[in-house]
Amino acid sequence: MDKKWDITLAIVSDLHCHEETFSPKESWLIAGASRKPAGNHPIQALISLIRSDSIRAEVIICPGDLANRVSRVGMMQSWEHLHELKRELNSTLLLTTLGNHDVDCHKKQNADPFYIPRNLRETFPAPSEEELKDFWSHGFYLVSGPCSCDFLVLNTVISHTDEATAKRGTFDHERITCLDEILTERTRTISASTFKHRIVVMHHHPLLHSSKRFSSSDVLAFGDQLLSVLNKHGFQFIVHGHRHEPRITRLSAALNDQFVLAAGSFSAILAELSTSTRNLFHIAKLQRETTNNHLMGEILTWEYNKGVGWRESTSISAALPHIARFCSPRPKIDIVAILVACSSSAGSILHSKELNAKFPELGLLLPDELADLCDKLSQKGIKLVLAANGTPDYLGTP
Amino acid sequence: MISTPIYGAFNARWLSFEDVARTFVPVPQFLQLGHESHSVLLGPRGCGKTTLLKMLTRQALDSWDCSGRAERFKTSFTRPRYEAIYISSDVRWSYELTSLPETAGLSAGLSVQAQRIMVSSNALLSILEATQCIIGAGSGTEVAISASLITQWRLVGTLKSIADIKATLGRMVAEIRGHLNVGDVSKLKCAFDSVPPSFYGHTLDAPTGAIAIISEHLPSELRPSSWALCYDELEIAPPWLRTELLEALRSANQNVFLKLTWSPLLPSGLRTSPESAADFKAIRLWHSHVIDPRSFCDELTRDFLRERFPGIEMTPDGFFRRSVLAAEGDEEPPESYQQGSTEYEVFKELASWDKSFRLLLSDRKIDPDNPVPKSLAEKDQFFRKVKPVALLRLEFMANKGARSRKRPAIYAGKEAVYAMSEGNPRWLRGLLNDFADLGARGGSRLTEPLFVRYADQARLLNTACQRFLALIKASPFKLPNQHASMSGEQDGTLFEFVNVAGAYFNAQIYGREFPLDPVGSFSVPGNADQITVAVIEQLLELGGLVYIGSSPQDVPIAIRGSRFRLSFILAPIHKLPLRTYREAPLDDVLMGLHDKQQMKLF
Amino acid sequence: MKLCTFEQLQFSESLKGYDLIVTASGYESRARFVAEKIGHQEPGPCTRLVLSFAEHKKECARPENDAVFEGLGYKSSLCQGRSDAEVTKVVAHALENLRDVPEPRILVDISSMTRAWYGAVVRSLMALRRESKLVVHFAYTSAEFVPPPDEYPPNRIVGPLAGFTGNTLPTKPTALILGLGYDKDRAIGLKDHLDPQLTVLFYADPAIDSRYVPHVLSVNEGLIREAGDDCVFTYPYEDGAAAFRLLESVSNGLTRDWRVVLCSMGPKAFGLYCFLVASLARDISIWRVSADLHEVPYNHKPFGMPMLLQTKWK
Repeated sequence: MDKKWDITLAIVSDLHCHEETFSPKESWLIAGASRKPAGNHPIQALISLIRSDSIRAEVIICPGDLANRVSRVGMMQSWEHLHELKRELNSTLLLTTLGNHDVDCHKKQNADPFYIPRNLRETFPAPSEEELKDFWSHGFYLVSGPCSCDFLVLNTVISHTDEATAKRGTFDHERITCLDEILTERTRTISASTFKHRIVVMHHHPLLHSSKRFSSSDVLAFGDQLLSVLNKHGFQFIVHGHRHEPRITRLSAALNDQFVLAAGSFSAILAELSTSTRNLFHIAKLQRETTNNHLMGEILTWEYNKGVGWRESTSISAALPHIARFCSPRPKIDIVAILVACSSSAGSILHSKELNAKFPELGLLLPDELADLCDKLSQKGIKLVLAANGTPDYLGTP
Repeated sequence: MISTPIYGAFNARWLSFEDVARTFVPVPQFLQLGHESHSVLLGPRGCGKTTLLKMLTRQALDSWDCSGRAERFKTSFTRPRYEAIYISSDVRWSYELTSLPETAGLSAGLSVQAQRIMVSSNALLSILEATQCIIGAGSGTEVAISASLITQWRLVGTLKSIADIKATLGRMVAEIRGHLNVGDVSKLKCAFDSVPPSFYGHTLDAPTGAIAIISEHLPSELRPSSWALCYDELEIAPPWLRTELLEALRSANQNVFLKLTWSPLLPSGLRTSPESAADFKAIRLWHSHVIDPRSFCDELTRDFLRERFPGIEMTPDGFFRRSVLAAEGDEEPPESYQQGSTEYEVFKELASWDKSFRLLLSDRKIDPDNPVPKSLAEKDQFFRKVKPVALLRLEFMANKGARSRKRPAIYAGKEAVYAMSEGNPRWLRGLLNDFADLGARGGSRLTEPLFVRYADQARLLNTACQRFLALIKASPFKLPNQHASMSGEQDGTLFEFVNVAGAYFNAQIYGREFPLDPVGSFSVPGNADQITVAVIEQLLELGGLVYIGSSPQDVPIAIRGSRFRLSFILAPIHKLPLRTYREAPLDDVLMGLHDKQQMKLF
Repeated sequence: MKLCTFEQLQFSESLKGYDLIVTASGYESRARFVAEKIGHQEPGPCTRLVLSFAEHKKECARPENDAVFEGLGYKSSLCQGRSDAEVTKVVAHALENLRDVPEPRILVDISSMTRAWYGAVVRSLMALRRESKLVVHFAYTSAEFVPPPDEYPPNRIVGPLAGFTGNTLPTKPTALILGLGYDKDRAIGLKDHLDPQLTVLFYADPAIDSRYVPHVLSVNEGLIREAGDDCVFTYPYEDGAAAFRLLESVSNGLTRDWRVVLCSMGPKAFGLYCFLVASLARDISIWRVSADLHEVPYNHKPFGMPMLLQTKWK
């Protein structure tokens, strides 16, 4: 889609980096590993992709789990890699939060479970001292980013002080209330309409995210409340990690749609999931239509395989196609109009160019919405075929 | 990152049509292939059959026309009037197709049905792709063609586009494949029910049917006057496929020609037919005698050097220099055999300790201490004749350490490289690439012409020889069908045959007496057993054996009664000359094998 | 059934609780190592099956192996080494008998099995239909280091294994993933025979014995050089999970643009990983290369503790 986007975000989640001596290996990203050949090193391979495809992003986001099992060496290496990617992507802002693997809830290394992240670097994981202070005290910080965007970074491991509390993400009612107050207060000085986009970064999922193999018991206990408050303040795009299974969900609330991107894991070895997804890297682009304030977005995804490096993802391999788009409000699809258009076209078939010209709204649906639409169209005798990258390719009546 | 290797296999099979054209070196056989007639391309692996078939396609010819290569090779050829469809195949495909009958629980009938469906689908996908090239996408013609094909093939839920038809065929094959892999016979039968009968009728039913429909709907300005179906790797295809296509060579269908590839031996079904000459053209792609491929090899080498070292004037002669062993006639410099020449020193040195050679010279009134030809006739009839054997005996029979440093390595030099490549484009390109990599070692850019040292050439050629032997060792001998029950009991292998034959020819060269006219080939008796015949056939296909005909165009019609030699690529391992010598009966050659053990095989 | 997890466990002599054990009796003394280690199982139904080679019945440690298995209560089935059909029948029948067992535990000792055999086991698991999951432990006893032979017999069998033929149309080029062994030139010979567009190599480093590595590198030097750094992968012999994940990731990455053929010439464990990867990606074909009856019998002795790989199937 040839379009001018307001902002582009690069999302690198759940790196799970650890040291060479750790066995069995749980990540493809090993601290200090050789960078040659490039295809064997997820970061080097990504740099190759960034250079070959001229990928740029104003902001790079890491929703946590930089380390694997609180490996200090791993955490440091991941942090350095993120800065490296920031340079390659020409980003001006790097936003990181902590995941459960970044916290020593078993207190094996120190009585303070947060000792390692607290002492890693001066500006880790927040970009400035003030934000760092907020991160550790309130459990979140706000930062105004480029392109009139506002970012909220949550610390959903803030209460992970022992094994019991580390069983699920935490952001309790008190913190939500505090967040609400601070956001409301902030509105007095900075109008919410100043921001084209308000984006949230967190580690744990705020809504249920179960699958065939796993339940969702580690969901944020007050996730729905949190989402409600975020919606109230105009935060429409939420990025989280933790599940390693990619998913894009549209939440249609009373106010505005919200879009929750569950990012895939960048480099964890997906022991139980390799049959359903792969290691993923995402680029998310957002656009606010000035005329009607509609939100549009596009998420590009690449999957990693050893040796081959990063390639455009497919639904079959990665559970998410290379291109996933969304629009708020959700576009209405006029099936009757489609039927009429088909019947008047040569061979009752609309090819890609004509299809996109006549029905551009088809290209603004999320993958599961497209799948749903395919079923509905099929019931009406219309066959919609998607291209390998996930976008509508052609459509017709057999 | 892992990606398509650049200099990898030099195998045209997976090159795009455009890339095939970009590296194509024209040969006379291509013009023969362009005729509107059935053709059978005969030759061992790597001899260029796939390249020639792919060059017939529209995409390749368009690319050739635009590339300027026609001018470089000063060759133009009229484009074939037919539309050529290349139907791909490879070793894996052939093996997997052929192994279908071994699937547990699958009856013979079902497995053949599955094979036929897959073969038909493969051909149809190629035809559909070619059609897309002819008409472009989204045209009314595409709709008309698609509609007819959908009706013909009873495709349910398929849109009137070639892309969707291809997708439907792909899903059909995938479904069948899935049931085959898990051995679900009942689901397989259900899947077969929805497959059009033409897909598992005669091999050509579905393709010719599709072509008829496509032709009918193509506008006249796009409609080819005829078509050619180019089936590759037929020699390793399932038996029914081979039989049906070969039989189809006798058909009089003027609309669809067949271009088939085959091993160096004419298919048995065709040999005895008196109409054979009229039904199809047998086009031979190998060289019996060492001198035959030289000009092709020169062209190919020149082309390679131009591409690999742009801006540097390099010639094959400069790159390799002369081979003392293999240069013949005009390839030898005028001073050859004169005093001070390499040949002179070789003869003199050999005569100093090889009594039989000394005697041979003396008998001809040639001074062994000053072996110089007295006349041109003597040079041609004796000196040139004995040169290779003299060189080899000196090289390999002299005492250790007696080798002169001034003599270049034996298996080296342009003529040796060409001979050992057998004019096989893939082998030659592989060798050229290895030689060029040596020159480019160290990463520094070449600024002047490269000469690959003889010692390096010899080393690389020896490696190529070892590698070829490894290929023969890796290739299992396939018993003829009627002997399939012997599988596991039979002792012989292709590898052992080659070793025994090599040892025999080696003994010819390095015996006590200097051989004036050694044996370097064998003839197969008329009563040779079928297993022996099968071994020779399979070695022919691999390229381990070469047929020697009475003329460069001669095509073998039977193993029995024919004459063969070992491929020159094997010369270093058995220390053999690069020349075709006289023949001996096969039984004599295999005597070593019989002596070794009680053979069931040979 | 589908493979859903793969991990490596610590082998222990106190392993118990199996409902089915399948092993093989051949001429190698390592054939009985696992069976001897775990001895008799607890009281309770445990079917113990030994697949006995129809060939080489008197060679090396074979008579002793047969006697040990008999003493431990294993029921013998005679099977041809090259045949998967016989093994499929035996294993499928044994799995069928576990139909009423909720979440059965199965131990398969592949130490002395041919590729055709343990491929048949994997295939039988894939073809099995049952409601509840099952746990299959694959055990593999490594062999003591033996220097590579000067010569190896020519191949008698080359081709895809039944049930793992892929059967894909030749619309994409072939990529050959080879697990290297130390038979000189065997790998390059296969590569030239199959004629793939791309060759990717795997070898164990660190190996079970460090002496293997230089031999593997030496006899495959030409092939390794030709493949290039990008296409050569080492895997840690003793970390089966890492090796499996690596192979699975590389294979998955290649399947988009190539038709992948897996062939293992080195340690049998790698061969097992190949079958398990192919069970997940049905397009992938597994090829075997063998001198068949002409492989020279050698009494490989056990070395170290067996590797134990746990797989769960649903």
